[in-house]
Amino acid sequence: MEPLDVSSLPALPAPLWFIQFFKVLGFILHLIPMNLWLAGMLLAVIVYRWQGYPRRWAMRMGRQMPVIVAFGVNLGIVPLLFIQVAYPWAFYPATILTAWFWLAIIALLIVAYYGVYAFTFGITDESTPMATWRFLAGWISAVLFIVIAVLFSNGMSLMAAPDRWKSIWLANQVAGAATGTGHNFADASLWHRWPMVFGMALMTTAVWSLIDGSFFDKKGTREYRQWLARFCLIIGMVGAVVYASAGTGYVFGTWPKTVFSYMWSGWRLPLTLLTGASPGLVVAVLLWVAYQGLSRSYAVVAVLAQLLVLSTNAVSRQLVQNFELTPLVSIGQLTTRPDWGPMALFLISFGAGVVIVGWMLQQVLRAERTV
Amino acid sequence: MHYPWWYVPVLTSPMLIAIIAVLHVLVAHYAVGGGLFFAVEMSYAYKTGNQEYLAYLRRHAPFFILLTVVFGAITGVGIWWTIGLASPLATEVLIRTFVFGWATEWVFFVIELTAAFIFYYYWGRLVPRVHQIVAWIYAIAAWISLVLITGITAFMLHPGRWLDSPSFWTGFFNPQFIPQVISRTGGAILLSSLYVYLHSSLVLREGEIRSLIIRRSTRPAFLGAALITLGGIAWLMFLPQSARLALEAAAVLTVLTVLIFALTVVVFALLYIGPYRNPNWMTPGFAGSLLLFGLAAFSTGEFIREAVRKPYVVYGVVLGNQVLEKEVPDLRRDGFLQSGRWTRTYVAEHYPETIQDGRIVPDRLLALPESDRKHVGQVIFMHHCNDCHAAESGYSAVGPILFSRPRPMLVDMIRHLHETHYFMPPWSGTSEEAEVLADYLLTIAPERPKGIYPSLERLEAQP
Repeated sequence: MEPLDVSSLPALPAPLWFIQFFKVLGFILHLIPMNLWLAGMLLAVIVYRWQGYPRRWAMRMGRQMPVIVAFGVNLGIVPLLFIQVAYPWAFYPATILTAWFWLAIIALLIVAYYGVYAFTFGITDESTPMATWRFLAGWISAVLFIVIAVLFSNGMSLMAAPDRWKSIWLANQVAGAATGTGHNFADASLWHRWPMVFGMALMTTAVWSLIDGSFFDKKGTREYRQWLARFCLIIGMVGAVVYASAGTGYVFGTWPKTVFSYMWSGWRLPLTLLTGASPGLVVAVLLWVAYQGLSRSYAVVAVLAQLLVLSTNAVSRQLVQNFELTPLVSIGQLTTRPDWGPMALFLISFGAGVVIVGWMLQQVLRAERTV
Repeated sequence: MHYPWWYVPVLTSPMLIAIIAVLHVLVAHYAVGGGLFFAVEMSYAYKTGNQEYLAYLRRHAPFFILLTVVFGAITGVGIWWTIGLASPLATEVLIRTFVFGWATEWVFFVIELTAAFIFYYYWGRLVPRVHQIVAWIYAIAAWISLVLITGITAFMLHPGRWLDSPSFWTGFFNPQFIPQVISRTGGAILLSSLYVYLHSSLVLREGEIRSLIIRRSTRPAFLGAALITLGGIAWLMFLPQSARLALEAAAVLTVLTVLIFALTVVVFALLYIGPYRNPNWMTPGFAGSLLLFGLAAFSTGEFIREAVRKPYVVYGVVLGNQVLEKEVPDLRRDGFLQSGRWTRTYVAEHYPETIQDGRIVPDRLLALPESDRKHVGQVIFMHHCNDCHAAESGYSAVGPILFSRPRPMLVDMIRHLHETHYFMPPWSGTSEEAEVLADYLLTIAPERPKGIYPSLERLEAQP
């Protein structure tokens, strides 16, 4: 499609850095629970049928899943909001061209979420297996989460590929109106980006399990923790390998030369290298935990390492997205007319929200201690 | 006109917004009213030491969570999803204007969600005072999110002073804000009671505790119904003139207004003779009927609220056909097809002979072969009309509406669209584009039905 005239676009209601900061921050926060439902649910249904510690782990993960999904959906609102503020001219065309796939995410998510509850409510104790239909519901949810991730990547990868819009649109239209049946499945980058996310998801699940085992699981025995540390090492290593392989294919196989030279130059080079290398740090920590034993401080170190993976990925992704959209609009040239009053309202509410949520969590911890 | 148009056969894509929005509000209002119900009733149950009542509230909680946190929350995201697909320009305007309103609403949504889960999962593990505080935090956060989102949706019907001095605050505190907050708060309280009736009648046997629950939920139900009525009257008073006229002029809206009035009377009457006078009558059938009447009244209200905005999506700003009102003169001068990024590309791709120096020449559209003219007309129809009208059959299909009009009358009607029907948007193209659109419309108009009064031409030709 032809480039857009920047002067025809409305002014941004906040500085671009502010919007991008919250978009990236929101995306990182969304990634954590999203990773857990993507890999955690699948692993939970796989290992639930095994006896002993695997089932114990699956039961814990399953019980946490409703809350994880709720917060994952909720935290996804932030990047979605700010993406529509800064990039409506790219976000709307891409999603409209793939409208039915994009809309299917909502329908599938409702089914998947109810499936999660069906699975969770079936969890009783380690010796009593859940009803088959509940177990199947769990499987359906796990598969749907994977499908949803693909559909999401479909829309988002198309958003960053305006050069593909025209051909997809012309192949899926009636008198110029998009039928919404277009897709970006032929884009090789999608099939690299999705496994990258899945690899990250496995690592996040491993790290979360360490946190759960060391902070929240009061009844876990020493043997269970030893098993958990080894289990997390395996998941984390598989995740890192998937992430690294898909990431290598993504960078060296799908990036156009322009993107490649942009991300491999200047101050972006160390970031690109760190994005690729950070999973190694997570694996190193997981190895350390597997050999030294699980402790709270090691679990916190693992979290920090995984946050590095998620953050570098999110920031790099944002830079690549900005660069890929340059042929359409140069992001830096967008005019800004900040709306300070409402921005202050948001920031004050945000601060108050943190305090209120913090207070409630404190009450929960107090209740846990009492128990 | 930066965005492609999404064609949904028969239904039209904006109808998807209506469907998802109605499904959402029926649960979202319960999420708000239910929060107040839990907060008030828990305080009562703890204060009176009524363990049976507390046990019922505990049974009600998973029903509430499963409905509101799953279906309510995800359909809420679904509305957002759909408005971006089916009404991108209006969504862009709303998000640019109210991004921090939405961001603030999200903060309260996080508080709401955290409180809901702690309230539910830590039942019996939190000390009663803390448990009640958490319930109140949920209730207040949920109500504030209702207030915040109402400011934004009410803006679409009547932006008020925003049109002269656009800012977040002038837009948010629009003339429809208070009326809609009152009626939505009332709706939340009323719907919550109706859900409680149904749930309690399903899970509790007839007896003292069920009667207590029903009795205690009835006064809030009356309060909710009164607030809806009060808010509804204020809503009517503060409608823009065009919307009030639409309400009177469109037969379907008149019928629906009567219907909503009738449904409200029925709900009032059932509340009085049922739960208020005879709480023991509250069988699942009675409670289910009451809830269905309530949901029907609510859905009708939402439909009317959406429909009276015509010809706007955002009053005075965005027209129903995804055109900014201020752009109309330019579109009439430069051409509808030329001004749209996607329409321009489409015509250039398929009819390069109409292009000169990168622009569509309107005269050349008329020089196209007849089949091509009709196709170009269809392109205009899709982007100018399909927002509200299906083509041959379906939602508000144009073919049956315009059948048997002769071509000159059609062209004239298109060129004076908003004068012919004031709830239609103005024609936003050139005269030549009006001609090719008429060519297309003639292809989708059905045959004149047999037995109907003959056309004027034939009538005048009769000896």
